[in-house]
Amino acid sequence: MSDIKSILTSEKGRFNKWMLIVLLVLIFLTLLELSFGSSGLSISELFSPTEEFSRDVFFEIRIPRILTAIIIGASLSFAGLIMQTVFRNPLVGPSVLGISSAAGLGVALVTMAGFTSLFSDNSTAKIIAAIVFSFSILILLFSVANRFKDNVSVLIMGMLISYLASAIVDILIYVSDNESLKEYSMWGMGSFSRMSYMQIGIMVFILLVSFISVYRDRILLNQYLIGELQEIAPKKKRELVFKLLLISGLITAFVTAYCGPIAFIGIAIPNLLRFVLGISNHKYLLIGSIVLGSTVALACDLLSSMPWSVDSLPVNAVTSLFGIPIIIMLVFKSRNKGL
Amino acid sequence: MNHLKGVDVEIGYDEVSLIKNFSFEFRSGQVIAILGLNGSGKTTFFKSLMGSVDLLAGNIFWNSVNMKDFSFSSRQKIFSWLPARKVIEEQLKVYELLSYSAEAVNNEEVLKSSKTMDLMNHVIALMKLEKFLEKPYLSLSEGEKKKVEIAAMFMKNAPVCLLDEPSIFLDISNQKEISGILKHFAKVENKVILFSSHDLTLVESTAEECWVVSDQKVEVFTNVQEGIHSYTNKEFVIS
Repeated sequence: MSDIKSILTSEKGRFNKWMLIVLLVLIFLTLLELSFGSSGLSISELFSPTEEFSRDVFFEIRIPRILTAIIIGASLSFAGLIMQTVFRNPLVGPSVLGISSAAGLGVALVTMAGFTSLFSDNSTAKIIAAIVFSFSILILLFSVANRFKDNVSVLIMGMLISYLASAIVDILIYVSDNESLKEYSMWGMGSFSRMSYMQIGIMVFILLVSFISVYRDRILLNQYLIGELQEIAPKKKRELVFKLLLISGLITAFVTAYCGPIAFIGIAIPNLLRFVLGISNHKYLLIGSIVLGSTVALACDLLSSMPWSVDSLPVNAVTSLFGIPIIIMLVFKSRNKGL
Repeated sequence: MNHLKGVDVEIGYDEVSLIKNFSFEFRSGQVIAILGLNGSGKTTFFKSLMGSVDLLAGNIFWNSVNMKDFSFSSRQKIFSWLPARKVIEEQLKVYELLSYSAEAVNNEEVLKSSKTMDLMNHVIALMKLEKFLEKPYLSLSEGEKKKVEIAAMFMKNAPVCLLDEPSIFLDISNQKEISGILKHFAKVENKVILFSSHDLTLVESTAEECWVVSDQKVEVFTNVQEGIHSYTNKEFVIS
């Protein structure tokens, strides 16, 4: 089989087959979570007119939670994929710009330094603080971005911002009381059960607009992979990199504000996708990252909500347990290839 | 018959002028070699043709139309370029590399264009790359990598091909093959091949015209032997 058409056709067939499988799993998981939420309510109970309370649980807790897992998983793995393309590095993720750390600093100030009193409601305060801080960092990064010689300087800058943020957070932790400390670390564990329908709508809008805008550039992204833009079109390359960093930063800022810093989905999913499909064409990777990202996030949420128990585990613990083996596998895989 | 002409061109970066008052002309079917020391302006000349570096003075005409008015995408249709070192994502497979390069021409996916597919199969057959297609770029030898990169350049089917050091890392048999391929694309496929090289055997066996860059000037030799002779006997001032 050496004909280019047959190779490309089989690539497409492989992609379609896997996407179908993953979509079926997604549907299955959605139905599973719909019927086994943590309150042990089944779908049949929902349609009996006496179950006012159950219906509330269903529409106010369970459905938003499923939608949150789906949209957050999709957004993070999409943002992670474009970061990995920009930096040509499979080990970077959406958090490398330092934006989620900045959001964390904002939340730390609200919970531990007592800025809560400025707001009527505690969770709104956290969201506003996270958005204000991550946007300030995003604006700061982009106002000096023209002075960066290359992409690596952006990475170093992001890392330094993270360290700076965590230094300030450490000081706050040192001086704060137990209660606010617990509140901050609960936020840091991430959760899919904090988003309202309105916030989910905002997130869907952001992802949709970014996806369409990046998907239209899929051929340009492939050219970026083969170094075609480097010499021929340095201006065009710069514009593309700017756009991708901005989109990824924006998504990370909102996800972190709404759900806390969700670990490893953004790094692990694009790698899992490339590993399973053996494809690097962005036409497929962009769509695949959305589909696989939402499925895996939903699976993690299902595991963390532990249908067999009343309590639920922090989402970050589950996503890390899932993500770390993939990254370890990746490291070994690239070692074997003689890197 | 395509035809490119430069009038009193000056190239360089901002304050540093590398080549001054250079007028040149070439047309389809020609193979031209550029000789010159490192840093003499060979690569900058290529970039100035492609428009990624602005001309300091003078004009370049493509089929008698001034290229100043050309957009990025129309320039991209005229020139294809192979840098001496290419930054390529190493996990890519050879067929991916080749098809992304082919996609660039009309900004169209390969599977949707039978014309692009035919061109790809043609170049692959010509350069005998069938057995490499599904291998990762990373796993190839340096010579194979270079051949794949040259093939990727021809996938763009541009009338003018600019190659910076095409024979770097290549052994003698690969060099001969590359020389044959370059000549084939000029003579049979009617392209302009313009390459820079420090490899005098490649220049001698491939080019039919040779430009020697020194002291901000370019001398054009229609006899390649003479050009090489003049180049190797120059007294270069080492500053």
